[in-house]
Amino acid sequence: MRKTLSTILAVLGCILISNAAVSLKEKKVNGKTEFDVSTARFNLTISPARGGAITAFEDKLDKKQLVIQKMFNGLFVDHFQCQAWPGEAMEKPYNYKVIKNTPEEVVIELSYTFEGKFRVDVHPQIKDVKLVKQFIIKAGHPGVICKVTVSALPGKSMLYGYWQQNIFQAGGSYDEMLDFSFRPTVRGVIKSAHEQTGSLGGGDEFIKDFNDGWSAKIDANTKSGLVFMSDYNELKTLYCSVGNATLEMMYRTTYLPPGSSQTYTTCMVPVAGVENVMSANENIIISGETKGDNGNGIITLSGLRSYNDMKGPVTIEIKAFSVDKPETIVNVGSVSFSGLSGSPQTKSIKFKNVGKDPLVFKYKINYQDKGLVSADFESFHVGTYKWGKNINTDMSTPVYVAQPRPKIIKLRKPAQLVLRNKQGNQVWFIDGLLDDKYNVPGAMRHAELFRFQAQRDVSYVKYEVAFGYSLSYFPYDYEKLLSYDLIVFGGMNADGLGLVGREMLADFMKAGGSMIVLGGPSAYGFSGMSKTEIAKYWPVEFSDRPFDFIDTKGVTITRVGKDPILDNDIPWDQKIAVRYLHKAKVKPGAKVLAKAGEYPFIVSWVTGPKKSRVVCILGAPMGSIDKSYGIPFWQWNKWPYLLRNMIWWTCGQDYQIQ
Amino acid sequence: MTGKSLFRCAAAMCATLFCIQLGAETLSSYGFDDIPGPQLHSYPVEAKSPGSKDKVLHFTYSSPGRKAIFYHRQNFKLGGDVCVRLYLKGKKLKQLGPTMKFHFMFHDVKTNKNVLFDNSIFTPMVSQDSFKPVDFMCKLPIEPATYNILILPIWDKIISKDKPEIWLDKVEIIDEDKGLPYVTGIQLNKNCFPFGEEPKATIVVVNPAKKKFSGNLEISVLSGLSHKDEVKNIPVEVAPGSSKTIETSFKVEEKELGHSLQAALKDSAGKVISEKSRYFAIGNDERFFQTMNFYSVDSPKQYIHTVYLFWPPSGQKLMDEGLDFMFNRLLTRKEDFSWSWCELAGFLPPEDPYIGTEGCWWISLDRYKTMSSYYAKHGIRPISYVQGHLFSEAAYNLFEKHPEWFIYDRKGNLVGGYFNMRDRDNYQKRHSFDFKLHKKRYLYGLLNPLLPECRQWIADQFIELYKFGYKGIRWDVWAMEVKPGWYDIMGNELAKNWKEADEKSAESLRVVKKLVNDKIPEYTWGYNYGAPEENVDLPKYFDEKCRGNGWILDETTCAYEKKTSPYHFWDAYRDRIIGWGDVVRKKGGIYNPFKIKRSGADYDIDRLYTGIIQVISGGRSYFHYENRNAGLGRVGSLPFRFTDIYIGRNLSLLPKTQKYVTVKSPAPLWWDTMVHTNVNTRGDRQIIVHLINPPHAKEIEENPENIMTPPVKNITVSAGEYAGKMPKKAFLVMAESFKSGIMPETQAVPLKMTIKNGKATVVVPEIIAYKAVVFEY
Repeated sequence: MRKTLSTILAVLGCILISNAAVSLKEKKVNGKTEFDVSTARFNLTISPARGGAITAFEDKLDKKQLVIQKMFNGLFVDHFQCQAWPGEAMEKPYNYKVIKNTPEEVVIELSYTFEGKFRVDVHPQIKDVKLVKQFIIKAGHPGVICKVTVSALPGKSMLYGYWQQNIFQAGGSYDEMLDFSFRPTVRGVIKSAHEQTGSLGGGDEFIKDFNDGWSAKIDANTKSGLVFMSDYNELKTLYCSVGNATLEMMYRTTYLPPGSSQTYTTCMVPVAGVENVMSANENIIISGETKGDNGNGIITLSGLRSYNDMKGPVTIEIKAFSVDKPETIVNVGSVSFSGLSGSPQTKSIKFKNVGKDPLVFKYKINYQDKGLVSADFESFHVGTYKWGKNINTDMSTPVYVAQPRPKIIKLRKPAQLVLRNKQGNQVWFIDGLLDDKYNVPGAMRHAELFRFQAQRDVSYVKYEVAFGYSLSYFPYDYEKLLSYDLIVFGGMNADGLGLVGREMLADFMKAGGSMIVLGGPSAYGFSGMSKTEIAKYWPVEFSDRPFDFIDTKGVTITRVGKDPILDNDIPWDQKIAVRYLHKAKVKPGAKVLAKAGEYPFIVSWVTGPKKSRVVCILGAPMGSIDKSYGIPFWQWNKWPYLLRNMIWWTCGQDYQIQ
Repeated sequence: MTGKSLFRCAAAMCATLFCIQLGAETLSSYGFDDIPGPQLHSYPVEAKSPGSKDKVLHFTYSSPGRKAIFYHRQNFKLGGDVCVRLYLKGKKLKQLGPTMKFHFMFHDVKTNKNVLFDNSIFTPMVSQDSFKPVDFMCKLPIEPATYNILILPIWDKIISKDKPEIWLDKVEIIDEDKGLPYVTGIQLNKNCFPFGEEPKATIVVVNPAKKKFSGNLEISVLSGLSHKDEVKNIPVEVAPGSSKTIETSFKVEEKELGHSLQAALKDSAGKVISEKSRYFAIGNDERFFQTMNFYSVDSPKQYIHTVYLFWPPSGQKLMDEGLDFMFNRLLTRKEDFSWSWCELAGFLPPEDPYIGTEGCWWISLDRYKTMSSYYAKHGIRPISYVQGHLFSEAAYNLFEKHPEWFIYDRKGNLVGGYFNMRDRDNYQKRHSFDFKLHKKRYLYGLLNPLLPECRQWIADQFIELYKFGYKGIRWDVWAMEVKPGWYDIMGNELAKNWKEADEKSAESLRVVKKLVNDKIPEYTWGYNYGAPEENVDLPKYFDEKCRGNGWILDETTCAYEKKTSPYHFWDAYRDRIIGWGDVVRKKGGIYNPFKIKRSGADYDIDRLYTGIIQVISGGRSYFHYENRNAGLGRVGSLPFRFTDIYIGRNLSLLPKTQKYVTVKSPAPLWWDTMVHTNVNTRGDRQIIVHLINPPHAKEIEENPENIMTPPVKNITVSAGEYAGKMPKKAFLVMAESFKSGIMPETQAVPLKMTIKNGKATVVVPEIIAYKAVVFEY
């Protein structure tokens, strides 16, 4: 009875807490203005003089001061990724004004204009850029909304990456064994504490394969902490600094055209009464655990109120499968929560016959409140007596990797997509696996004789099993991208380019950019590019599956008719050959310049509204070839000249080859 | 034999250890009475007792690590066993765990080489109330030489509030010279000899007397529990005040066994006046005897880096010292880890120095050549680590030439899962003055083991390794297996399911082994992924790994201390390791269990028990806990010396339900899942009962104070009839002290056996941590 009564009181307390008014009090500390904001759930202090950060936060359920009262601690600390830590904005005075102060809502705006200088480093790309931050605290909502707006100067585009730092201690003090961070990834929610990850490094400090836009830190002793939620589509990395002392959101590198702006919204909600976080959004926070072995066990889920107040019940449907047999999905059932509050509501459900460990559970959250679409998340269970990390015995490869949640992005672009047409050949080479065999630098040297204005940039392709393909450099700045005349597109993968990269490259083609596409072990079918907008500009159709090679065992390459690309300075007095060819279908209007047996080897065309010139090389520079078929094409001493001719043609310098 | 006589026998055996003390001469004695001020370096100098003029040094804990040298004396002519006797008093010392060590450095004035010894101080050795002598035995090279001696303290990291304190009154250097001739020691040319090769022994006899010595040197070989062959009897004459080096060789029977070579110096009346021994092994595969560890509480840490690391900064002198140290530690297998240029794409570089160690460092091929030839010359099998992948430059070139040899995942990416064209570009600039290492491989690939061309390529790489100096490999990460989900370049899946994968993997491995062994029969094989949980899907492949002395590294044990592991309970760990060791042995493998935690357990108590369990499992390891001063001895010497009992090929673990043996103990004792039957190399049936005094905590890493369970005393062990026969003899085998308070020795002591009601019964006086009873039928 006593327990029931205390539960009722706790629930009532939580309801009262979440519905009470919000109050604002301005004060002076050492002559500097600070704002104390109080709601039924928390007290916080905003310090304009200290980087416009929240420099004190106390959850009334927890009664712990989460921010250490020293410099370089605080919530919603602004930083640009181009600057070294702590960057120029931290602990700097911000301008401020109270936008709204009513019992229902308090809005405080803070702003800072960047000097673009930090210590000895100069960062012209953010010089004079104004950052405006708004804290919105509403009655009846147990959290804080923070909106940060970055605006480009009227006459100047900008390329930047915003970084928001939250330096606080769950439970009120730092404990390297008990302060756990939780971040959702395609490998499951990564739970880490300093004690586990070591002092420096540790692969999971910078999480790039996150699968949702939240991160949380909880003290396992006090069972309390904070959850931060932001726009998954805009995030690049969920970061925990050395020792789990911070939770930080790093946003993707963003291009802003002159005068435009980008707003980053983060919602912070305190949590209490739970040891972990499995999923978080503005409608519900879910904690829980799975027990059992080899397909049988029990799931216990706890629901907590998030920023919004759910009037109707929230139902969570659960399905599961064994990693060994992902196609055999078992319906586990569903649990439902009504009247979510700051105290966790706990429900359990048993599962049976899912299969051999490890298991994956897929959760779908359905709301009855109007206008809310369902959400989903996954959890990964290795069995009761297996150790925690989702890794194979090679100590690095995940046993299970989920499909990443698709991202939706809205890029800000220049008003007109046009090439900048700079002097000289402006070429960007994406150097993938075996692409060095094409001798692109050699071809460029021939192409650029006496052309000092020429630009050569190279991006090296990297592939790692956990994170896929990446480039050492990508011109996220449209000004830079559109300054190129030609992209030599080596073995790069569509997933690695990402949504932003793919869209920007498609924009480059739309703007009239040219491309030479190289064959190779990561190219065409292997690249996953076939269904992209970029590939629509290519003169061939090819498979959307890997293993698109034809193994000719060796075949001689022959010219098809005459073409300046083939003929300029090239005697063709030696036989050249190829072994591996990508299967491709020549699009109508494209021109096959050279064939290997019956298959197209070099195909070109002029396409699109701005007359983009594209050449596709469909052979791969690999494999052993009997001499009788000729010299391997990439070892042919005239190959750099042929490639040079392609460069001249694609760069529109027809006069060079006529 | 009565209990009393047994005890006398054991005491006499132990006393042989202290022969230096029995006939010792003090070469130097130094107190600290002449120190002028209140301090020597940072050490307080105090009165020995209130008002006394005698001064003592006081050692207190401030931080871990080496502290200042407090003793430095020059020009001692020494050889063989030397005793450093310290007069000590201490408080807040423990029975085990972090403490202070005395680090002794013997610097050979002529060769400039150092011989180092560490000795930890524990509670039973030192009195709280008065200064008592504590002897630290140091084994120097047997040829007498002139040494300078330095002593300094090294503190372990001590977290507990109660920090030990130690007072030192006096340092004495004592050797065996008391006017009588003596043997300084025995050195052998190898640690392990192949069948048919006669070991070569060097024995030095010193005659400090003023008259010529005439006598005999009786050389015997001990093996098994009680077997002894006298192999040589050499007349010896040594001039007064000089020494004589005797070089001899002898025949040993062709049995795969560890032995002890004993040299007894007898005077003209036939009385033994000095005796020394040294272990060695006979067998064609040196790895079989790899049971001695490198690391221990007693071994100085600086050698670890000298021998286990490879790049030039370690320096020639340190490398030489490290190699000698390793030889004298009786290692028989040495693995050079991660040294090669591009692994399976090409172990040996076309240039020297080259970027090796998986792309991390500039290293020298010459140095590896020197090291591997040293190992081979000293009966230590040189083994190359093989990562299994093809790396970087040679891999890239091979990939260009033969992409069809490589394996791809379902997305068409190279299995191996990594390439970085930036690092490739960087590598091409390696000869530039401003080149900076990226310390990464730039490409990983795996070869398709189903292709005959790839099998031949891999076999050829191993043959190249042999020509370079490595007599075998340990194959990590990938070793000829295929898995569902792996494809060739045309998208054909290499195995449709695990069953097919198992068969194809086993066949591929078998073929590669044959290709190599047909040309080099002595080439040996070793592998990772030797845990039961790692071999569920590929059982036939695992059988092939074990077949023919496959070295099986069981590495998942490095995470067994974790709370989430089912094996973090000691009893579960014990049964897992001992049970699996039996499986591996029966499949023909050599079991190599890894330590808990990659860097080793945090607490000595956990190191002690994991070591004991690993030895009982038949495990070959470098990681046992050894501690002579705590009375625990050198547990790794048990399987080396008593090969049949621990690593014999006929050992078989009996189930817990066995009916042959019963044990009655006044306190908890582990034994019933650790009973082996055996037929030893001489054809004798044996039953071996391992007796472990259980750890104080039930779980691994739950005993940070290193609390030892009190010794268990007077244990009755009975064995019944086996195959119609009753036991004829019983022995107590141990590395720890026979009883608390006496120094430990590796030995087999005959036990008095009573036979009643069809049971042969023996009484074991005491188990400190571990002993074994062997019944011979």
